[in-house]
Amino acid sequence: MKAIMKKIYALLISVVFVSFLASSCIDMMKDVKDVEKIEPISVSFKVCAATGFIPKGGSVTPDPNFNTQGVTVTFTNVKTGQVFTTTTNSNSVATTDVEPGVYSIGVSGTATHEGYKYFINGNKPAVSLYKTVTPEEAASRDDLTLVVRPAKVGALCFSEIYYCGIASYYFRDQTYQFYNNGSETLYLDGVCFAQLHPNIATANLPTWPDSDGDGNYVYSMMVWQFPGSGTDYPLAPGESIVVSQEPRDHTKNNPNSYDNSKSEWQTWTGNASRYNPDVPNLNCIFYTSWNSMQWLTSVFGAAFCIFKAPAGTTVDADYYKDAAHYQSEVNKTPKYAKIPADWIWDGVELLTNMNSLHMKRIPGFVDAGGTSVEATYCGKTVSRKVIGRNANGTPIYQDTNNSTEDFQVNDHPTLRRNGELVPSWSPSLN
Amino acid sequence: MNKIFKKAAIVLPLLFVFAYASAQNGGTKAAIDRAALENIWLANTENAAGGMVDAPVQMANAFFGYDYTKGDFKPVQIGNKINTIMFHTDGGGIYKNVGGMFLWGDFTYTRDDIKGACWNATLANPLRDMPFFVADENVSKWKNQDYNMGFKVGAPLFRGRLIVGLTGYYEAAIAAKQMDPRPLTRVSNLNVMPALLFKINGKNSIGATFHYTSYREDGSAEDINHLRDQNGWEMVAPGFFNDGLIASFGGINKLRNYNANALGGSASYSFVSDKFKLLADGEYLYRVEDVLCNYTKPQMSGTVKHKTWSATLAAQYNATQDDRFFVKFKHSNKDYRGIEYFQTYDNTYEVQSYITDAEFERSKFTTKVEKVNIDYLKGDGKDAYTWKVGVEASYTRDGFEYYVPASSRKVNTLAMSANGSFNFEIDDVNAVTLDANIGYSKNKKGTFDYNGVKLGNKAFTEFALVDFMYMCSDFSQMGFNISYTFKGIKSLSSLFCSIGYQHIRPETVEDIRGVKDFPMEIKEISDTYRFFKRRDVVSFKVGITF
Repeated sequence: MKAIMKKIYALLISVVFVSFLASSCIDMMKDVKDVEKIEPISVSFKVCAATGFIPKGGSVTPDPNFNTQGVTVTFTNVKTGQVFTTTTNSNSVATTDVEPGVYSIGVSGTATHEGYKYFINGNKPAVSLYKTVTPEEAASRDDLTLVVRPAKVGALCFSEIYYCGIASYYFRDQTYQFYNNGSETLYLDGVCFAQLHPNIATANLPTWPDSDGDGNYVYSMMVWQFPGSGTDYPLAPGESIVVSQEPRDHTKNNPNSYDNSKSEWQTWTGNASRYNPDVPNLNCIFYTSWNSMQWLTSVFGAAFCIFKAPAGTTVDADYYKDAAHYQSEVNKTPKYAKIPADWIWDGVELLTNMNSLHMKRIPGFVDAGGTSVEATYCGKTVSRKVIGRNANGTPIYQDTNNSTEDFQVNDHPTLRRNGELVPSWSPSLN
Repeated sequence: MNKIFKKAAIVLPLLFVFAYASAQNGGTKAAIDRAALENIWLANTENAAGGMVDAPVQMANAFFGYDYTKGDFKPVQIGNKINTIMFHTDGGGIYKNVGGMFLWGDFTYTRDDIKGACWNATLANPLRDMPFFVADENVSKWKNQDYNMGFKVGAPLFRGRLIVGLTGYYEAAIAAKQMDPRPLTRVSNLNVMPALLFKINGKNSIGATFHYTSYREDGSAEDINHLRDQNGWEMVAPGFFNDGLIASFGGINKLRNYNANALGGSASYSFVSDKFKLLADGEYLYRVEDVLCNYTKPQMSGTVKHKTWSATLAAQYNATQDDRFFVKFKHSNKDYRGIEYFQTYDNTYEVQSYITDAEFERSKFTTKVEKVNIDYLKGDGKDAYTWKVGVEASYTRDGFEYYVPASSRKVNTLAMSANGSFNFEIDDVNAVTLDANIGYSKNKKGTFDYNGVKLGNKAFTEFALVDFMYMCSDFSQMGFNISYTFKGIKSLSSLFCSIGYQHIRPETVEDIRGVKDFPMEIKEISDTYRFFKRRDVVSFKVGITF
């Protein structure tokens, strides 16, 4: 009897095992049984400009003051890098033939409103396009509409960023250069320089509370502010300033590095052995977590913006003590400074490499693209492309709010590589 | 788990071998060669029950082998130099002391030290019909180890008609690339093939085999030197890929996890008489292989839908006891489709994973082969041969199609070869077997109409295009093998050692260098042409048959 029972058990176990194998195997085969063959498609996308608060997931009322006809729409296949470019028609709809795939859709153009020039830049980092979308369909569907937030053209911009460090694992020479690319003198007093969250480009972007809406803010883990009471630090057209993690002749520490001791400011965080008494400190007015060793931004590429509050709003350390001015991710506790979208003058998305374009972490109105030196500790920098020269020989930089187009990669960092001028108040002149 | 399988892989076949060693009366290399031709079921089907029809004499062998392969005439992903050490044993037959069952087992261990391989940073075997993998441009060494065990069991005749059989194979392999980006790829491959054979009468039999395969492979192309990111390519088809950086953070997906299941079967018919043997076999296998490229946030790289079918007709005619003719025709058809996924990351708090928006069949690969073998064997009056000769002709049509953007590659090849073997029995205990072969392969068609956007990319010019040139090359080959057998050791049947040499020489070097004369429809190609010189293989074996 026992022998029979053993055989029955063995048979049952065998049947269960074989059934398990067969069922998972058959499910796998069923999944791909009727997969269709791929075919080329034609897609349409509507572009509209919206101002004011944009609710999350809700419909957007386009701002009639911003005409989005003639705006360039670029479909970049995130797998192949193939680019399809078209422009919007009178209905603000862009149509083009593409091969099915996942696309990063970028919008770029300009509009003038109330005497100001605005960028009409936007980006949808990863959109699956696999069915033909007619212009009519695109015009009637929110999910096929790209909402762009017009951004004022700011004269102050990032001209060069050296972030990746140099072999071997040397990162104390990180440097940020700012430039007045306009035609009028501007004042750095009160201008803020922010490192945006998350620190590294990732597909796993933070989830912010619905109350913040969609694309109304960017969020910062560290906000530095230029000192001054209003007119202390003028920056004339063609002049630039340099901000460094640690201004010094780094070649003494690492012969592969360079000398950035002639910086205008340093971002010192309290490490006495990393302090240069000849260079003033920037004021830190907000931080998520403090690192008293140094202010190290990601050598893979962080994201930054320059912003200034409108007249009548004072932004300082006290401002960010108000709970209305910081935010936490859903179900997380770390706090990040909320920076309203329309305060931003310039922004740059630095990517681990250009394959990470679909992992953009900052909205397209801040930077419609991204740039990268493509490696860590390689000693390379990104700098804006020169598109002309002012009468005094200083450069005119390309600034379309799309760093994919605006920036180039250089083999070595250089202070004022294109003949930018040093402001007369600079301590580096002493 | 792998260790258990490895131990089992060594022990199980040896059990067959030792059981056999105490039971039979001898075999030589020539006898093994002859048995491979005459066991019509075992040679042409996976139906283990067929072993009871073939009723092979008990025979076993075990050998250590060393192969040295060198030369540039090879697919790009295969090494320029390969040192292979090998241990193999197989043996079996009909065992009266276990009820007249047919038992057979084999075990093979190989270790390949590969130099000069490139455009592969994932696969243990880059030629295994898998278009989804990570490639890199670095010429690298690989160290690969493969444990392969198999068995066949055929039960005694049930009620005079029915035979139940079971075939099983298990393979465990590990492949380690030696230069960044370097995966440590592990392979597990299980094949189970239960079978039935029904004897209609004394001469006619029909059989059926069910085939199940479970295949797993996993490797991630990691950079050990974090200071230096490497260029990488996520391949989806020849000339179609996503190129970027293999970085310690970010960049392209480095991981590839393969999970395949296959179901299939075959139906066979045989006629066996003293003078004549005939076997017809039709086989079909359907395999689906999913390729993941991310564990923590599951993301599909692709799926391969694989259909294989073949038809074999094999016959043996014994004109006299020692004059035996063999004819075999086989048509095989391999068709596999590459399915690509469009996935986007859903960042909503509750989801936070990749969502499949769409999936499409995007590429098609086909290989159709017709092959004919004709052999003649002059028996030695016992179980071996005095000499044998054979010819083989095959026509292969290899096709690849990428639907959007529409691209295709077609290569047709006619190959012919002849071989001869002479077994000299010097005296009762010493024998020398000489094998020689000569062959020629002629490309009959070669077109590559590439309309992808990465024409100037290295993964096209130095990989897809060079492989295409390799496939289109005419070549001649010749080889020989000398085997010495000593039968004077009492406890063993024989001891043998052999040395072999195979030389392959491509003959269209000038055509490949002269693009205008080369039969392809590429609109624009870079000047990174390569031309092939040769490929040589030297092999040594020392072993025993018993």
